[in-house]
Amino acid sequence: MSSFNRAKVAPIATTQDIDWALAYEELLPKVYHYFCLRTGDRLEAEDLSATTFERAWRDRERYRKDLGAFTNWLFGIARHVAITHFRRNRYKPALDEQGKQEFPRPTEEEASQQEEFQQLASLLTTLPERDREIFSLKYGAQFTNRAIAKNIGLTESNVGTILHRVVNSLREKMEDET
Amino acid sequence: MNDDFIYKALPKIPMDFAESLYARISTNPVKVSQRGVHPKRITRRWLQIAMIILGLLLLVAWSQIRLLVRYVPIGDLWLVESARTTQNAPGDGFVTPVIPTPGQLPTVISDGIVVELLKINKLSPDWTPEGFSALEVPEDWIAYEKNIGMWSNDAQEKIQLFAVPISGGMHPYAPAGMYEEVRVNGEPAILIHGRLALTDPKNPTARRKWDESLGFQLSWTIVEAVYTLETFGPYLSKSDLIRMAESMKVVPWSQVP
Repeated sequence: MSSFNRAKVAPIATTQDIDWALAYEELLPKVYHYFCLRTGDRLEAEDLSATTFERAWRDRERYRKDLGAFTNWLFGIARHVAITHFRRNRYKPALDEQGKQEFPRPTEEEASQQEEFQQLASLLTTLPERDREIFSLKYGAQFTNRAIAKNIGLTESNVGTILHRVVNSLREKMEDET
Repeated sequence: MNDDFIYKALPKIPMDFAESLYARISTNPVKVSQRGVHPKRITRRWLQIAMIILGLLLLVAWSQIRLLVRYVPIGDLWLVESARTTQNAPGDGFVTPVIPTPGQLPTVISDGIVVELLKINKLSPDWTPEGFSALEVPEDWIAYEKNIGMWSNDAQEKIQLFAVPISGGMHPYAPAGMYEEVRVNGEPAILIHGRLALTDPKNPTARRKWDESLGFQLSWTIVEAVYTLETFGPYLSKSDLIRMAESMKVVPWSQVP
């Protein structure tokens, strides 16, 4: 069994008490999904997730309990990583234009899931930047509407309205395409 | 709000990626300081503390110097004003910016050097206080300044005239409140009341204290030199001293007998 799977369950508390294995197990999927939805690309999501956790590990002593929950701190790093990434890649051609990614031959189920993700990712590119960030924080990072509102600088009801509109729009478009 | 399609579309995290990343960061040998603060931050904090302490020390040093002496411009002259009225004896290791009293620094200078280098002229008064007559000035006068005139009366009370160059010469010195600005021929001059005197006349290394009753020192400038008339007791008024200074005429050294 890998060290990742052997991670013990312990509550996340202060710097000294943080169980990194647990934090990693709990938050890596959220960070990864956040980047998947932000970039629409799984490989980039892996790279950016790795950057986020490496940076968090490097700066782990800067974390203080009174600066906010550990999750917020980690996503603060993640969002910064995302901003830096988009700034650097602003003038680079889209991945589709550079060529198709090479993945191991997927199973039928995996192929179907990948297709759905590509469809969703494609639709996400039509969203305004702010709406996409809100959407990614909600469905990738699993933030509550209140936490998103605090991070983005909107009211909670605004966030709810935007999410409602975006989700309905995406669902309709995905249904139309299928 | 039906959002199941979103979760369904989200890709699963690749386990090989998750495991390799965990292995990488968990074995990262980043040094952890025991105090829980990044080592660079500790260095930066100590540097800030050191800078603050250094700043405070400089402030204290500056204020001490500022309190001890200050230079007061009067006409072409700079007066050294001291906050203290006492001075430790010279040679006891006490470093002081205070100007020595006349006759303290032994330097033998000839008239030639006086003319060529120090730009000092011989002065001769048209008027002297009643009862005073000129004395012969010793040729090898030993002093840090050039003595160029002496007068005395029957009571052996003396008036002395000495000169120093403006540039590089000694400045008049007096404690605060012991001097005043006067005019000599309409030009600014300094009149100092009293002088430093030994607290124990029998002991030349004794501490010295300013004595306001020990005459006057009147300093004024002519061309590139500072001339000072001084008395050593309360036998002459300041108006007499100013009148004598105002009557001074420059005598070429070639005409000095």
